[in-house]
Amino acid sequence: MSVYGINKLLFRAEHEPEFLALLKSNLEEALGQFSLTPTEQGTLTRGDLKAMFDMGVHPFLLNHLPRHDLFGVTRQNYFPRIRG
Amino acid sequence: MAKLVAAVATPHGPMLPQQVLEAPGQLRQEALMKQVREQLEAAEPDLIITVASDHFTHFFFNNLPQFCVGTFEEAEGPAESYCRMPHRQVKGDPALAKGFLKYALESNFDLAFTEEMGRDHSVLVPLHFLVHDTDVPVVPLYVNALAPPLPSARRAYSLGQTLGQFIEAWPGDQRVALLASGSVSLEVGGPMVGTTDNKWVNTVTGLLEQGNYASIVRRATERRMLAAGNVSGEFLCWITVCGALGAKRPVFVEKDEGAAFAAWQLEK
Repeated sequence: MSVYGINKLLFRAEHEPEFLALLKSNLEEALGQFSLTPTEQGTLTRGDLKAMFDMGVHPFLLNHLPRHDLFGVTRQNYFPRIRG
Repeated sequence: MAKLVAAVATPHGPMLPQQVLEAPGQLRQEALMKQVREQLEAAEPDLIITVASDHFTHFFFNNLPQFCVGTFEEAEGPAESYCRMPHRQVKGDPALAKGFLKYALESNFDLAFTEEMGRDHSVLVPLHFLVHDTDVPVVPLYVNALAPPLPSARRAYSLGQTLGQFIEAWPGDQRVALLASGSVSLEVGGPMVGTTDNKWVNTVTGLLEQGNYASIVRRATERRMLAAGNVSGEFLCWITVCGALGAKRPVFVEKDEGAAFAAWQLEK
């Protein structure tokens, strides 16, 4: 797994302020709550939007990344990154 | 018996309330929302049934209903961090909502229900612009638009027909208005952001003007809608409302980029 795991992480980042804080303060512990492969973790922590999109991560949920300053994704670099 | 007195349909941009606050009197969508509000107020509804899609605010892939009714008593929203607008209290109507749930089940619609309100901007933003009186109860109906596979347009329309029949059969004296919320052509967070499928927008607004709902239902396949943008399935909410309208034509239809605004006066 899993695309579901990445989707769930993004969903929780938007809905759970404590989880969002954990993502920022202790990424390893936060990621440990999901069964992501090293490749999946890499695409997430690099903010590789195109790779995640191509994997099937939901773009509406990817949109939460710039909202919460996660993994280097900003409003300015979002579109170049998602288009690849 | 309850009476269906009006229907309206608008987009629900989560940033729109803030944009209007920062540039009052300048945005076309503010003016269009005002036009729609005037139509709604003219019909004097005392209950609103919204038909809108959830944006992973309330539902997620661990439990994703195609159609769901909100039987909550009261709520406050919106829930999203990114929708800046004055929070509002929303009153539900559990009796009527449960009445519709029961009627739907008896009409071969296995509707899901939620006893907490899905406090999504798709419901709260139109209420913000269109329903200033927060005492008016709101019964939300959710139609899956974001998590394919989506319900068919035919099924969404049929749900609307069932809703219209329920309203007429409901032994209350409410004056009911329907509020469809959603875009016609919009992409959020995906590679097609910033593009509008004008051909699709023109097609559907043209058919709406004619009251040609059968043609809309035929053309609004999942493939066609999603080709117009990844959240364009929100148009299913409009199609559901169309199902309750019979042959009635709108009193106006306007467009703005990938969004459309429409209103129907239905009181016989």
